[in-house]
Amino acid sequence: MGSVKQSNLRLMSQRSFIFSVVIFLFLFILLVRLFQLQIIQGANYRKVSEENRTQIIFNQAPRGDIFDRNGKLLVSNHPSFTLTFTPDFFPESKSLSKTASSLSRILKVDSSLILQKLERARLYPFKSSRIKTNIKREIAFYISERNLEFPGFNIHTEPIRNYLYDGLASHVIGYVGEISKQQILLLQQERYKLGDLIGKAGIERIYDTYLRGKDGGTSIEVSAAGKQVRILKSVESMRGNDIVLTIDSELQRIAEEAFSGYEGSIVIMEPNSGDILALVSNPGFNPNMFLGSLTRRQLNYLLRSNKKPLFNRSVQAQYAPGSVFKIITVIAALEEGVVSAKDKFVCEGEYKVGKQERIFRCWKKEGHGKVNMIDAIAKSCDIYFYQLGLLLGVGNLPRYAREFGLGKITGVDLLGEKAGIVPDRAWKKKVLGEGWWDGDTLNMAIGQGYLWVTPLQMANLLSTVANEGNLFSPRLVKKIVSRKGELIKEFKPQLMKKIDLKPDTWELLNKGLRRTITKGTGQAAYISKLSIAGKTGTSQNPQGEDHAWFAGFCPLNKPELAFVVFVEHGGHGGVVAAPIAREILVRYYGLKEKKKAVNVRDVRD
Amino acid sequence: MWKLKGPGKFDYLLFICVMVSCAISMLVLFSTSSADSSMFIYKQFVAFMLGLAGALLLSHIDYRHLRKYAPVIYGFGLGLLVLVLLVGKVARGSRSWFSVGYFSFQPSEFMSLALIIILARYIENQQKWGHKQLFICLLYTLIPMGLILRQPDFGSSLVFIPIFLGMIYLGGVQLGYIISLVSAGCIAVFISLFLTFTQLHYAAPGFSKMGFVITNIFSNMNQTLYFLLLFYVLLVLSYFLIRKINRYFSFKNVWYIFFTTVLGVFTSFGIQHFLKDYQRQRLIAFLNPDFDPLGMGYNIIQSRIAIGSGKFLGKGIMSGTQSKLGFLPEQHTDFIFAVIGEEFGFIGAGLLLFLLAIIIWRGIIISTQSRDTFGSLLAAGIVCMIAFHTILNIGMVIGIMPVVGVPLPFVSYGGSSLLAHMLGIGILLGIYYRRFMY
Repeated sequence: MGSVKQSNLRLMSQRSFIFSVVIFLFLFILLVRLFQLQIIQGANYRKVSEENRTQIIFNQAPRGDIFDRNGKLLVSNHPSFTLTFTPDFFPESKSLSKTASSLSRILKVDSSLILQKLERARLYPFKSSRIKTNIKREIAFYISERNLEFPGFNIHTEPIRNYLYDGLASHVIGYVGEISKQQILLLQQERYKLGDLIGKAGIERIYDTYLRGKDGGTSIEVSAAGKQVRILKSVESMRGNDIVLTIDSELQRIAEEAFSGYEGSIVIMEPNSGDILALVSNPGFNPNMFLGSLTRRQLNYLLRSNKKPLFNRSVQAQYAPGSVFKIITVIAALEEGVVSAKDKFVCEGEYKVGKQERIFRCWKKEGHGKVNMIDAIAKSCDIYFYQLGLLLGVGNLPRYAREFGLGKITGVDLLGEKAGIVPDRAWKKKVLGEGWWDGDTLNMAIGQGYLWVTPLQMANLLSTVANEGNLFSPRLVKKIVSRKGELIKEFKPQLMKKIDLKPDTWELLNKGLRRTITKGTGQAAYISKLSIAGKTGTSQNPQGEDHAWFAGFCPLNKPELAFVVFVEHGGHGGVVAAPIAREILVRYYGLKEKKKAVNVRDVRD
Repeated sequence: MWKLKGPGKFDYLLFICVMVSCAISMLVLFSTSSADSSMFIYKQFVAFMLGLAGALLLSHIDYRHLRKYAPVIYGFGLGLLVLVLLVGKVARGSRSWFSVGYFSFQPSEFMSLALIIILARYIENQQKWGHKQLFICLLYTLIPMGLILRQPDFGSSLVFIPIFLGMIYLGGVQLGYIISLVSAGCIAVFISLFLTFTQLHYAAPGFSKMGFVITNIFSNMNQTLYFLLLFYVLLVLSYFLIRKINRYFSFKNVWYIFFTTVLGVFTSFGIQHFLKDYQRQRLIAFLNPDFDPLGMGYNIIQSRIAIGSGKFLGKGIMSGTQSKLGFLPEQHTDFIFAVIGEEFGFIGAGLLLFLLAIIIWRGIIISTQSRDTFGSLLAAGIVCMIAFHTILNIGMVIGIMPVVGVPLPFVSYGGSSLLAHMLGIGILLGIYYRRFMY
């Protein structure tokens, strides 16, 4: 008995040792882990705990206003309702997709779109993410009344862009939208963060840094439930700066109304400053549409339809200038002295060139008969200009075209401006790999062929003609002023160069352009009380209906406006574009008079 | 202490360590308390005073009386467990509380003491270990465990396993039994949790497939039986093969394997039946808490952040942002150690760990110095209880052990747990005091 007990005790003390070793091994592991967490990784966890407890609520700063040249407010902000979602308040037992579909019924937005946003929001459980902006008042109230049904959802008021006249000057003003991830990376600026609004086009985009204010914010300590415990720091938001445009909203409105139903572009400039008074690109869009979420149909129309409403035809579209280019041809011919004003050519409706006797036709089949320069301009006689072209040769036309700013961007404050093309021997060799034929010169002399211009370039050309040689860089913004009225930045008229021509040249050209309106192809634009000078043009379009041009300025002796009307697939400039210009001018100057009866056969250019 | 006379000494070191731990507990409860939870300190203090009185009383009474009353104590404990299932109060989904007027208490906490006493008595009286002895010990353990699982209170039932294993180990059971039982447990856990584990932690298709295959085999009783039958046929065949080579190879080995696998597989049925999917996931979420940072992993991650952000010196009393702002769950009870780590840093947490280690160390010393086997086993059982709770609780809080709701001895808020552990300390003090008495 005793010995059994003795051996038992010995075994016990041996086992007690192992027993305690096992326990203390565990305790040691605990200590090591504690050391690892608190000493080695302590600083890191301290940081995480700081982030855990603070949340920054951004207070969106209102963007600056946009005014027209006369101080009329065009774009402003107004308070709007935004639906936000803070995932932490959303109970796990509730179905996210069901909530999304019931929200979609209320908001009338695709439920998959909502679900996508909700799921993205879930990555930041304590942050409130925007689900839909610009919600209608009734809907906002409807949702706030049912906040038990939608835990974690809140209605906030935020300043939102308000385009007072909807689509007015939409291609100038542009629109705003939520910044994309790629854009943030691209800009790499601290002042942009996810969820911010940023100008996506037009002035809103180019002057975004001026227009956007500085967001304020409140850094608050939050509990695990996301409830505010106390405010750590608060910064007021700062409103953005205001922009004054060169646009005359009245003229813009008139131009848009006169142009409704057409596709194309109208640009109206002030010759003495290069100010753009009106810039229309049809079809336009309503920038307010981008503030809420777009429906699929709207998106399809904006992005995929062949009407391309977001495409700014005034600066991004390139077309052959047609007969409007004859202005350059005339100037070149007079300056180079290859012809005098009195020289006459006979137009028989067609003209044979080269040994193969390729036939080049005048737009008027039966011909114009004997024409001098002024008549040729007025009647836009192609045969006359073919001969000028041949006399001028290959080099001169491109040189003069470039002199007037063609083939180069004008440098206007709009994104994606195209330079157009002024072809010459080298260009053709390089691009098409072919030599330059006389036929090419002929085509160029009447503004066809490889020549490409934008409507804005044409407007600038007419503006330069109107002020007799002052080539301005067109401007859209007059000045940027702060809320307090301080001048932040002023944009003075920017004279690119002074083109010196013989006085006779200007005089002759003006006479020709005036005759076009009184007796020539531009008769459809004739107004008895306003001396308009101008030139029609038709851009041949092998794919379909020709494009119509009408460019001009008025009044002749003291030009106030230089304008271009371009109608895509409109047909003939004299038939389609000129009456539009007339209507704009009649309404702008407040004139009342009947249209002059025009024989369409005379103005089909 | 007072009026204590005799040849032995009072274990002041043990007593002081327990008092300091309790003081730390009060301090932390004070720190985490807000206007609506100041009740905690008051209640905890009452429990502490009760526990202190009970401990001193128990240290006075000769622990050998416990041997006499062991069956009564054990029977009474089982009675309470049955009663609590009938009339207990439901809190957090388990019927484990008696509500008596102002106070409520949890009989399962006291049951572990009752089990320790009866096991000590039973093992002391055995001359040798056999299947019968093992079976009876197992029965003593499994009955209260089963009753507690009925409540259901998974965490509270777990402590019975280390008490059982620790006591039979120190009681001299053959190592084979221990190995067999532990292996059976491993098999059970493996079968039940492997699929969950692969789904949760590895997207690797092969690994996950293995989980599916294993779960498939063992999800259906018939299939399992066929599988086991095949396994045993192979086992017996291989026995004869080995017998050819080694004539002295005993059939006992086959019996061990048979016993282990049957126990393991059928325990796994129990676990699979008892644990729901999300519970299984929660059990092993600590291996990869970032898998579901807002769900299962939330407590683990927030607790880790709390501890880690305390750095060396801590954020200071009442300045723990993790606990004060409510990121830390269960901060009075199961996760109280995280508050200590956050507010008092490595110094504070290390000190508490050190105190608990001394308590455990004193317990082991008392166990080895006891004048008889009964006292020795009794002390060992109490050490098992304290050590297991300490290791599992702190291990859970610092993210290296499963999230199982067990209290941190002397520190977590909870009167029953404090009282039970204090009584255990009282018994230890009594054993130490009488170590030279024969």
